[in-house]
Amino acid sequence: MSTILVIGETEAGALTAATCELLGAANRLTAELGGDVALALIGAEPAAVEAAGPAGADTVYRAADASLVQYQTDAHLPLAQQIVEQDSPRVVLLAQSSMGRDLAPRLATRLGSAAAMDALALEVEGDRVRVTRSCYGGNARQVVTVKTDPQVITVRAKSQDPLEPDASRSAEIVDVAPSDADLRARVTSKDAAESEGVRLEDAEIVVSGGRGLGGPEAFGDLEQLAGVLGAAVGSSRAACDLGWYPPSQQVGLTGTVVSPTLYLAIAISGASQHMAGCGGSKNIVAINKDPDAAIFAFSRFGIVDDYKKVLPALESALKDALAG
Amino acid sequence: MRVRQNRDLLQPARSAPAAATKRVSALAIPAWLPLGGLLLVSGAETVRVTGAHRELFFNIDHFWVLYLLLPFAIGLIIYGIARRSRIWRLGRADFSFDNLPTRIARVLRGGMGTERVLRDPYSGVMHLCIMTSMIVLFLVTALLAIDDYIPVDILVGPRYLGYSLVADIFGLIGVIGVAMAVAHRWVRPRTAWLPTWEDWFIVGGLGVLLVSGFFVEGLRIQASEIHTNPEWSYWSPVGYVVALIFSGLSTAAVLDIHKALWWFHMIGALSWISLLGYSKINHLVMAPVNAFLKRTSAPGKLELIENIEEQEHFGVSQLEHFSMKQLFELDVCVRCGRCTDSCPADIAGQPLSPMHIIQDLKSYATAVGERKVTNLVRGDEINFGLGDAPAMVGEVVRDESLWACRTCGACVEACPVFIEHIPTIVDMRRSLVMEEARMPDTVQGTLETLERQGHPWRGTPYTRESWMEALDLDPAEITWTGEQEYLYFVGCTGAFVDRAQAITRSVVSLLREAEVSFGILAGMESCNGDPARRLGHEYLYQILAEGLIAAFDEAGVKKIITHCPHCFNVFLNEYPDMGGHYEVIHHTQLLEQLLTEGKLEPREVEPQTITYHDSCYLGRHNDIFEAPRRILEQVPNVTLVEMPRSREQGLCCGAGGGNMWMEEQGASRVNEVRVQEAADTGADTACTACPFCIQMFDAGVGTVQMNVEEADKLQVLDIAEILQTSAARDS
Amino acid sequence: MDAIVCVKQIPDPETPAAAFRVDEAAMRVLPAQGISPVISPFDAQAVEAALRLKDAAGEGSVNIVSLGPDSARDAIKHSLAMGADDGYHLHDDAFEGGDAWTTALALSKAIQHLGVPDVILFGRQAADWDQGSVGSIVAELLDLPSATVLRAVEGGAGSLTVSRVVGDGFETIEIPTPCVLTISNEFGDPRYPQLRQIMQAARKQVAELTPADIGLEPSQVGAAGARLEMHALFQPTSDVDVEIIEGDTPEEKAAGLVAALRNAKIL
Ligand SMILES: Cc1cc2nc3c(=O)[nH]c(=O)nc-3n(C[C@H](O)[C@H](O)[C@H](O)COP(=O)(O)OP(=O)(O)OC[C@H]3O[C@@H](n4cnc5c(N)ncnc54)[C@H](O)[C@@H]3O)c2cc1C
Ligand code: SF4
Ligand code: SF4
Ligand code: SF4
Repeated sequence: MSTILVIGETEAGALTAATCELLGAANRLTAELGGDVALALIGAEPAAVEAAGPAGADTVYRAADASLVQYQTDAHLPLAQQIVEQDSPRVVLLAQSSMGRDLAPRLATRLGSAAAMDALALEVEGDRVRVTRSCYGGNARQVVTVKTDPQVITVRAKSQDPLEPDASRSAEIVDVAPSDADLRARVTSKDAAESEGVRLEDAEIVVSGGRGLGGPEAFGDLEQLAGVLGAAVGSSRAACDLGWYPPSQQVGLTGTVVSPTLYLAIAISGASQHMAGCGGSKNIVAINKDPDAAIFAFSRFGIVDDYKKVLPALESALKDALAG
Repeated sequence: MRVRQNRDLLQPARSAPAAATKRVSALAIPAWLPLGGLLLVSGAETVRVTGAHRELFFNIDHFWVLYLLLPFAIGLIIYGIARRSRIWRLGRADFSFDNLPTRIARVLRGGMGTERVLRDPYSGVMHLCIMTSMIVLFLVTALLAIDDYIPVDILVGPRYLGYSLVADIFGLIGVIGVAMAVAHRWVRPRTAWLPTWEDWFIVGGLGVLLVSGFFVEGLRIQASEIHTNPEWSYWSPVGYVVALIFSGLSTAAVLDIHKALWWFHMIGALSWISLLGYSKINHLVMAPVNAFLKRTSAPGKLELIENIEEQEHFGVSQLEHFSMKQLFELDVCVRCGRCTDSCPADIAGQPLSPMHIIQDLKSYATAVGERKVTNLVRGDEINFGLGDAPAMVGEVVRDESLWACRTCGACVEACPVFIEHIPTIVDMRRSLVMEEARMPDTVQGTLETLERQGHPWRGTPYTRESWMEALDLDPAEITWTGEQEYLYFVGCTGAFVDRAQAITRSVVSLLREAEVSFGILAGMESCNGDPARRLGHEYLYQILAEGLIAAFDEAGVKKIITHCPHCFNVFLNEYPDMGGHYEVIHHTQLLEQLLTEGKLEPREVEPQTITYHDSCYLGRHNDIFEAPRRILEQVPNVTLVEMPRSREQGLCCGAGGGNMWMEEQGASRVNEVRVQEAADTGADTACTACPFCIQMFDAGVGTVQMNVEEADKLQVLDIAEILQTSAARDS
Repeated sequence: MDAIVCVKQIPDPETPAAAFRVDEAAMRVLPAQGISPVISPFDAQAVEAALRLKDAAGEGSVNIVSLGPDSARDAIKHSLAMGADDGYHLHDDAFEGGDAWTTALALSKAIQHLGVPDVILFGRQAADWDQGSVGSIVAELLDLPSATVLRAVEGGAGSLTVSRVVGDGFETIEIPTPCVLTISNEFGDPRYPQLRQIMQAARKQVAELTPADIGLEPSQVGAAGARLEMHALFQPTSDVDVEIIEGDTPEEKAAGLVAALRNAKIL
C-alpha cells in the first residue's frame, strides 16, 4: 500500500525519461503527503525494473510479458486496474504520453474516480494534489484538484525533474500475473514516423528559413537541424519563390498555418503575411543578423548574428543537450 | 507554364428545330434586322446600277435571279440570329435601362464611333479603313439606288464622275484595311491572338470581294467606257488600271470574264453578308446593342442576389443561370484579344485569359445551349441528355482561371464591344464557393476567419484597437460619439495588418491636424463583407453588410471616410443595394479638399521622384485618378513621374478580387511585374492609396530589388504617409 | 454504418493572444469582442471522419450530440451543414459547471437513449479545456473498445482499421464495432459546408434533451456531479519582450539559447 502509484513506461528496456520525472515528482509529493512511491511496470524488462529503485520507487509491480511491451488499451487497462486495486494508492501518476492520455481517463473511470490531464505543476494541499494545467491552447492555466480517490493525474514530459539516481535505493518487486484480457482492439503494426513525413501543421517544432539564407543549400542545414529536433522544416514565401524550397512548405497567409510549441525562424524578416502563418506558435525563436528585424517583436528569444555562424554551433549544442 | 482553358471538351453542336421555346419573352427579334436588310439591298444595288447611265445590268442576263437570292440571304441572316437568340433567351431576363442618356452616348461614341478600337493605333486605323469603306460604299450604292428609283436623275455628268471617284477611293481604303488585317494576323499577332477559319474567311472574303469588285468594274470599263467615253473612265482610277490589264483580250472574252466575275462577286457578297447571322461579323450590329446594354454602374460592381435564402442555385454553374445579357455578350466578342492583353494575370503568365473565358463559354453555349433549347421545346427537363457534357464551371472554365481574376476591370475597360467580364467571372466563382464549397485552402481559411472573427486576416496578432497604442492620444478623443461629422472607417486591413496600421495613424494625424470632425468605431467596427463578396461568398457578404449597416444606422453614421479603395467601393456602389446610403469619401479626395481649403499646408520634403500607382478600385472602378496626383503635385520638392500603364490603363497590383489571400499560380507574380514597372521609372518612391497595394508593393520590392542596396530600394508609401511627413505637425 | 459524433462549441482557438481575456474571479474566459465561438476543430474533423465512413459504406446515419449552453446549437448546426443527419442538444441548467466526467456521463446516457451506433466519434480533445478524456470515459461507461488520437479511419460495420498517432510514429489498430474513436488533427481538414446545406441545417429541428430524458438526476450532472474542482483560472504571464541571447562568440550564443529553451521547459 503506497501513497502514490506511478504507472511507468519503458523504451528499449529502460525506464523512459518521463517515468523518471514522475518518480521524482512522486517523491517530492510524498515528502509532504507521507508514505511510499510505487511503480507499475507493465511489460517491463529486468534492466528497467532494476533502475526503478535508484530512480525513486519503493515498490515495483511488475507484469513482465513480452506481449505487454506494446501498449494496448484492452490489455493494459485491466492490469493497471488490478495493480491499483492491489496497491490502493491515493494518487496515480501517469505521463501525458500516447499511453497515459489513452489509459488514464478509462482507468480513473473504472476506479470510480476522475483524471486531471496534462499537469504542468503539482502541489500538495491537504490530502489533495493541486494540479496546474494548461488549457485554451496554452493561452490559460487552470488549477484543479480531483475530488474523488484515487486522484489520477497525467503529467507533461519535462515539466518535472527526475531524482539523481541513488544506487543505494532498491525497490521491493511484486510480480503481477497478467490475467487473460479480452483484446478487442488490436495493434497490428507500427510504423516509425518518417521524419520528413511530419506534416508541417502537426509538427511540435518547426524550423523555418527565409530569403536571408542566401541559397537552397542552407535548407539542407536546416533539415539536419530539424532532424536533431524531430522538427518539420518550413519556409517563407520569398524562399519558396526563389525555388529554394518546395511551396508546400510555405508558412503564412497564403501558405500553411502552424502553431507549434517552438517555431525557429532563421533569416526571416517577419512580414505580417508570414506571421499570419506562425503567430500562433507558443514560442518563437529568431535568428537574424538585423537587430531591428520585425520578427524579434514576436519572439521569445532571439540571436542577432549571421545564421551561418550560429547554425553549426546550435546544432551541436542541441545534440549535446538532447543526448544528456 | 501557361495553362489555357481547355477547348477540346465540346462536342459539335446538335441540330435543333427552329421552333421558338416557351421561354420566348424578352428579346423579340432584335431591332437591327431592318438595318441588315438595308445593307443587303444596297449590296445588290451596287451591282445592279454599276453600269447605270449607260446600261442597266450591263452584260448580265437573268439578273432577276438576284431578286430571288436577296430575300434568301436576308432569310438566312434572320434565321441565324433568331436561332442564336434562343440560346440567349435561356438566360434570366433582367435588363436595366437606367441612365438612358449615358447609354445612348455610349452607343454613339463607343459603339458607332468605335472610340475604344481607336485606342490601339494600328488596329484602330485598320478597323477604321474597313468600317468607313463599308459605310461609304453602302451610302454610295444607296444613293445610286435612290437615283435609279426616283424619276429625276441626280447622278449625271460631273456628279456621277465625282461619285465614281469617291466609290473607287473608298474601295481602295477597304483593300488597305483588309491588307492591314491580314498583316496583323500574320506579321503582328497579339499575344492572345488565335486566328481561326472564321477570321481568315471574313477578312479574306472581304478582300476577295473588294478586289473582285474592282475587276468587275475594270472589265466593264474595258468592254464599254474605255472605248466610248474614255474620259469618264479616268474617274474610276482603279477600275481604269484594271481595265488596262485586259486591253489585250478580245471584247467577247472580256464580256465572258465580266459575266462570270459579276456573278461570283454578286453571290460572294450575298454569302459574306449572310455570315452576319453566323459569325463575328455580327458585331457591326451587336456591338452597338451591347454598348447600350452595358451597365452604367461602376464596372466592378457586383449584382445583389436578392432573397438569397430562397434561391435554387447560388451563382452560375449552368448557362441558364446567366442573364440574357451575359449570354448575348458572348456572341458579341470579336476575339480581338485586348482584354487578355491588358489582364494582369495573363501578363504575369497565370492561367487566366478573359478572352478565352468568353470564347470558351461561347463554344459551350453553342454545344450545350442548343440541346437545352431543344429540351425545353420538347418539354423535357432542361438538362436531359446532357449528363456527359463537360461541367461549365470546372472543365470549360477552370477553377484556377476563376480564382486568378483580380476583378481589376482592365478587361472591361479594354473591350471594344463593351463586354463585362467581371460579373460573369464572379458569378461562376459564386457557384464554386456557395454551391460546391470548392476553393483553395487559404480562401477557405479567409472565409472562416471572416465568419468567426469578423475580419479576413487570419493569424493576426492584433485587435481593432492595437494601432492606437503607438499614437500619443487618449482613444476617447477620437471615439465615435454620434456628434462628429465623419466616421473614419479604419477597416480590417487598417487595423489588423501592421503595415497598414501606419497608414491609419497617418490619416488620423492629418485629420486631427486639419481639425476635421471625425470619430472611429474601434472595437465596434466589423468587416463590411467586401472580401467575402469578391471571393464569391455572397451570402456571407450579405450577413456582414447587414450587420454593419445596422451598426452604422444605430450609431447615426451619415458620412464615411475610408483609406481603403475596396471599402470605399463597397460602401459607395454596393451598400445602396443593401439599403445602406452614406456619403462616402476616400482619403485622397478629402486630403485634396483639405489642401485646397488651406486646412493642410504642405511643407518641403526631401527632394524625391514619386510614381503613383492607380488602385483599380479607386481609379478604374470609381474614376478617382486626379485627386491623388494633385495632392502629390502640391508637395514641394516632389517630382511626379508616370508608369507607362497608368490611369484607366493602370496595371493591378495583384491583390484584387480576394487574391490577397491566395497563392498565385503561374510564371510570375503580378506584384513583381508592377513593381518592376515602378522601378523602371527611376522613381525613389512608389505612392499608393490602398492598403492592399502597399503590401503587394512591399513584397514585390523585396523580390524585384533583392540585390539592390537598402538605401536605393524603392520606398513604398501611402499618400497619407507622404503628406504626413510634409503637412502634419505631430509627424 | 451508423455513427454518433459528440461535438462541442468553444471560443475560437484562433483568437489572437492579444484579444484573449480571462475573468479570474469568475474563473471563465471572456468572449473576445467580435469573435464568435466555433465548433472545436478536432470535433469538426470527427464529423468529417463520420461522414466519410458513411459515404464509404453507402448507407447509414451520422447523428450529432452536443452538451452545452444555447451556443452549442451552432456546433450542431455546423455539423448538420457539413452533412450530418440529426442533432441532439443536451441542454439544461443542470448541465452547467460540469467537468469531463459529468459530460461523459451525460453523453453516454444520451447515446444509450438514442441507441448505441456502430461507431461513436469525438475530437481528440475539446480545444478549450484540452483535457482529452471525454471520449475514453464514454467508452468506459459503455464498455466499448476505444482508440484515441487517430489520423485515419477505414472500414465498415463489423471492423475498422484505424491509424493512431503515437510519440514515435503510427500504430495500425484493428477495432471491432461498436467502438469509440477520437480523431486528431492529422486526419486533415474538414469540409467547408455548401450554402444549401447551411440553409437546410438552419431549418432543421434540433431535439433538446434534459437530464430526465436520459435517465439522470440533476445531482449527477453539471457542477453537482463533477469530480474535478477548479480553483483558479489565469493567463500565464509571458515575457512580452524578446530576450536577445548575448554572447561573444556564436558558440556562446547557441549554448545560451539552448540553456534558455531548457529553462523555459520548451525543450
Ligand atoms: C498577398 C501576399 C501573400 C503573402 N503570403 C505569404 C506567406 O504565406 N508566407 C510568407 O512567408 N510570405 C508571404 N508573403 C510575402 C511577405 O510579404 C514577405 O515578402 C516574405 O515573407 C519575406 O520573406 P523573408 O522574410 O524570407 O525575406 P526578407 O523579408 O527578405 O527577409 C530576409 C531576412 O533575413 C535576414 N538575413 C539576411 N542574411 C542573413 C544572415 N546571413 N543571417 C541571418 N539573417 C539574415 C535579413 O536581415 C532579413 O530580416 C505574402 C505577400 C503578399 C503580398
Ligand atoms: S478583371 Fe482583371 S484580372 Fe480579371 S479577367 Fe479582367 S483583366 Fe483579368
Ligand atoms: S471580350 Fe472584348 S476585348 Fe476580349 S477578345 Fe472579346 S471583344 Fe476583344
Ligand atoms: S489592391 Fe489595389 S491595385 Fe489591387 S485590386 Fe485592389 S485597388 Fe486594385
